[in-house]
Amino acid sequence: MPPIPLRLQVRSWLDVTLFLSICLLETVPFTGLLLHEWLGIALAALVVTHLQLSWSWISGFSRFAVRSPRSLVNYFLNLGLFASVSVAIASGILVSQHVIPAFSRSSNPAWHSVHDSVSNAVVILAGLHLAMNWDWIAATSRRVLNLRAGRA
Amino acid sequence: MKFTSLAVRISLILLTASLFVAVAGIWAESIRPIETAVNTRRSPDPQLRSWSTFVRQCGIVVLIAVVGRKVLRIRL
Repeated sequence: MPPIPLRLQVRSWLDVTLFLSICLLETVPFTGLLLHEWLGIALAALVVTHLQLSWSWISGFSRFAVRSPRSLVNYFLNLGLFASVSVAIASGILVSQHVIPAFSRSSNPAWHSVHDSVSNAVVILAGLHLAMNWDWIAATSRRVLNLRAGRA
Repeated sequence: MKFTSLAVRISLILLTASLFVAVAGIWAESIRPIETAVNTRRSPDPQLRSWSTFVRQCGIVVLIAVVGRKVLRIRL
């Protein structure tokens, strides 16, 4: 079996980390508020790296071409997910009580409600994002895990 | 050259994100009079700290993915 490119390995482990981070961020009773806030800030860096590694797809889609309904749905789904994650992180910073408490003292209390609403949207859109990329995830997981088993 | 390209990409990502945040800001301003109560749903309860909540959340995301995959396969 040919070796897996480092970029693909990094991308697959980054995606696993993103999935676990989103699940952890939705379970505040499990993590506690302090870890929740730090994890939310770390998520920003993870998302930017994820987008950076997927840039060829993003820039490729933006060029003029006839698109299939599936790729259009995928594009708008990804855009919605990005919007939700961005707002969730920004509103999380604004309502932060431990990491950046300076903002929460002066911010609009409605940001709490916005944070809750977009967090729910993130869960649904992340699930649908998984659904759209299921085949890629399955194929990559098989490759990465096979390589690991071969090395052991 | 590569660094410039990376900087441009990250700037584009942050610029797009800030546009979405600006829209959310308008939304937050519009609901200000209605939603003034401090949120209590997210305050952690030490008694609830268990792995089951985390595993359940992972299950919810995977369940949405499995159902979504079936629906999207039929529709698209």
